[in-house]
Amino acid sequence: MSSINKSKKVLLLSMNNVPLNGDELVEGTGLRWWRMAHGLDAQKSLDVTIGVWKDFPLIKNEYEDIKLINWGFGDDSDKKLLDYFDTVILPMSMSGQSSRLISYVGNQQQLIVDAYAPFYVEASTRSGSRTFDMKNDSWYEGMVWAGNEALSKADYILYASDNQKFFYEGLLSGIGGFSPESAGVERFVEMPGVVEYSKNQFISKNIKNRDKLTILWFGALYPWYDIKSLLECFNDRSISKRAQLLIVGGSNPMYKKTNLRFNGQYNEATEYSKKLGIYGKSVFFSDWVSYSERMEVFNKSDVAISLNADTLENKYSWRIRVSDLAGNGVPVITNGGDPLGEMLINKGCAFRTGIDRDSITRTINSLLDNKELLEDAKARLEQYKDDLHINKYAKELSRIIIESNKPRLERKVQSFVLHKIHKQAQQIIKLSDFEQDNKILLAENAILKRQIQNLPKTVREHIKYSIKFRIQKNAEK
Amino acid sequence: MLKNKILVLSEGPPPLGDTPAEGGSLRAWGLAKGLINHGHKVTFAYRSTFKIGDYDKQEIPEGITLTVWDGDKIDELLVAHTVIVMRYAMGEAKQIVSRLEDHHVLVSDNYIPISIEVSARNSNDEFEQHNFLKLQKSSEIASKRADYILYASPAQKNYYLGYLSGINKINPKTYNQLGDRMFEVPYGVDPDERPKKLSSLPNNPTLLWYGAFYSWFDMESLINSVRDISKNIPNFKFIVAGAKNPYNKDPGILAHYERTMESIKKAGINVEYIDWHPFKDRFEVYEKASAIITQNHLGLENELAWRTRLMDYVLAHRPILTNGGDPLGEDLISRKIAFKTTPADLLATFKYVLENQPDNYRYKDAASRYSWSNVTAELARSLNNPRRLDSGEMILKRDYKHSTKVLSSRIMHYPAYIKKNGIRQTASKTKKKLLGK
Repeated sequence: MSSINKSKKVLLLSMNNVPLNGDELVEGTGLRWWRMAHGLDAQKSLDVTIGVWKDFPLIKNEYEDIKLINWGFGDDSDKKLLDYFDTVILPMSMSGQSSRLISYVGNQQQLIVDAYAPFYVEASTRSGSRTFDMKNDSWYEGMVWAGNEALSKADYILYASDNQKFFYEGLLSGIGGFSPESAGVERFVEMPGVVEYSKNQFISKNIKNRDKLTILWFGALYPWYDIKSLLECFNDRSISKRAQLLIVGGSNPMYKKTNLRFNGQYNEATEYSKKLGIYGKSVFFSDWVSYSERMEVFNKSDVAISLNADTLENKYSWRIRVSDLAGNGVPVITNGGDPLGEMLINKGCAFRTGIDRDSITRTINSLLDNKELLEDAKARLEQYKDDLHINKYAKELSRIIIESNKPRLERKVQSFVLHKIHKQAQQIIKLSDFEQDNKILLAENAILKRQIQNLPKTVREHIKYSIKFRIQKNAEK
Repeated sequence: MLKNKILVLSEGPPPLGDTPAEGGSLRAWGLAKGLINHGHKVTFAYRSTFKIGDYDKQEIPEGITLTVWDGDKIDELLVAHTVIVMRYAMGEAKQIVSRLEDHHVLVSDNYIPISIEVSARNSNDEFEQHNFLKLQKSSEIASKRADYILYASPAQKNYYLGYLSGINKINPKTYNQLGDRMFEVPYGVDPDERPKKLSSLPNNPTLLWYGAFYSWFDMESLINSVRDISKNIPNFKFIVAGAKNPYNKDPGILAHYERTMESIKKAGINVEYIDWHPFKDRFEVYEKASAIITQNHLGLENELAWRTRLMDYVLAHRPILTNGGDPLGEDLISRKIAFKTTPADLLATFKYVLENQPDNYRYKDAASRYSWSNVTAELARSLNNPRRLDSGEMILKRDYKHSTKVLSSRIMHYPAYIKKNGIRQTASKTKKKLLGK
């Protein structure tokens, strides 16, 4: 352990596993937290802990300077755990867990909510792009409740792109999380899904003299991707004799094969490949790989491809797999439309293609005929690699944690109630200005105790703390 | 009985004759004019409390029927129309929505992100707080009922998709329909309103501020820069027209106006003031200017705003000076009819535009792009066959059905819990939970 005195204790709570050994199958928040923990830890002033859901028993409690702990053993245990930390970072929506966890975050603690995955549109795409599944109504509803509550109560919100920032500003306006009092208080912190420095570096190979290129599709075939036209390209001899398609982890093992929302397109893709006669010939499917194995997969590949379905979700997404590939030096072919894809295309690190078969065929043929284009893209990825690295973004988040700002407490929920109370307090004390603000505040407190008895407990607590907070601020002045 | 399909509800009166008008009613009038250009017949209704000045009947374009609305007359108007176009944060939006029948198609005009705009007024007045909450409610009710939603810019589209997600308008049921239901309809212009001939530039270098001193304009920085210009350019004139909006009583905005007037006075700048005047007279004011200036407070409000006044300046064929950051300002800068400037370099920019006036075709191109006819084209096409949004709202309330689902899912966990903790502890925990509830 480092002997440096760490000023603030930070907890990142995950429902997923983390790649502690490297041989775990990981996804979602587990991976996100793993990278963010590395970024925050690199700032050397934070004591970082990742809380991993109890279903994934930890084999050790430390990784380098990052601490790890299991959670989810009951209300008392979890509350005690959260009490220990200065800052708690939660994903935007943990369904049934969110509300409970948020209620444990005290007024002295900082609550940061991670909204980089645009759950609202993502969840709709899962159902909307395929058959609509009424069974998921309750699930969606629960997640939306949790997301709305988390976003409105957060001190800070982590987002991935400008599109997302406007989206969440609008969302906050819709749920009452934006008010005249919070105007001008910046609650958004940019934190796209990017990579940590990997111990196993991608080894760039000389491909000029290679007969056959390996094109990689990395990750599950979720409904916000569209692979059908790509498969059809490999039914074309001009492509299949010079390239092969490697689909790794097309089915997410964390979900049942019968879960059509997540694995439906995978089932269709394997069937379609067999029908076209390309399965196992020019198109190869292999399972989801562990965190460390993925680098071997990258090393087997010359270029990756990621094709986004033409849905609303694309504009608000942040393609983690693309940032993983590009951040580790693998150029990508993509139809873009997503903020990361567009950024990589604009920087010459990715190749734009259309989503139809002819466009994809043209793009692949162009790369096969001009392999130096791939070398150029790799060189540019090296040039821009810091932009895809967690340390670049962790600095700002680290500063916010160290400063311990709590904007949620400065926003006066139920402000109109407070305002009336303030006026009454002014009349009682007969003061017209704020020179003796503390006296007014104390009077407000007295009135408040009488007036707010019928309000819900959470609102009462919030108003009381808001007044205390103002008294404390005045004292500091 | 009115036979038109579309009813445009406006708060204020249309800009006919000498009638002074402001943003909301100008917008509604523009939408009506745009829609009739595409073959629709429109009823334009303004609140009966407003009086229209003298006007020539020829001023009302063919295809528009003018009438008034109020609490008594609104039902009659609704019965006679299928499509209702209404600003989503209109004072009576809640009441009007509650009177809509199932067959009514509501076009919710969301071109101003109202929560942001009200917040940007920087007012701590109690009235403003209540106003904010009231507008929040009415805009939510209108947006939830909306079958079509109008927004002004790509940034606003992002904002409203979030807003609609937050209020549960976007959900798995509606997701695939919304693409055909949201239209980018910025505040436009009517190129025909421009007089055929405007006089050439004035002899004295003249800078014009045209429009109210709203809180989202950075007047303090501007005043300091104008003072520099007045010291450095001989015969310089500064004209301020319509600084006080007679219709707007928002305390934050009134306070901002008073503060700005005080600052101008303190700065000792020689200003020619022109009062708020009928809309049709604006070109007489534009003619007096060598350039027109605006200065935004940078930030969220500016990024989401559609500066309606800038839109109209395009018809004046006068260069616009702005610090930009707003979508329209940035577009006009790229079209080379607006010039990006900061308070620090305003003097240099003003000198530059005095010598380098943009070509007229650039103004005409912009006016054509943003003509009411053009900006309403897509909406007008959709309203040829107006349809209700299929599903309306989803659920988002913790109803009995949901509770039973949750309960049944929890019961599924009981065997494992009993196995781990024993029957006594399970019973104790269950009792505690139930009593707690």
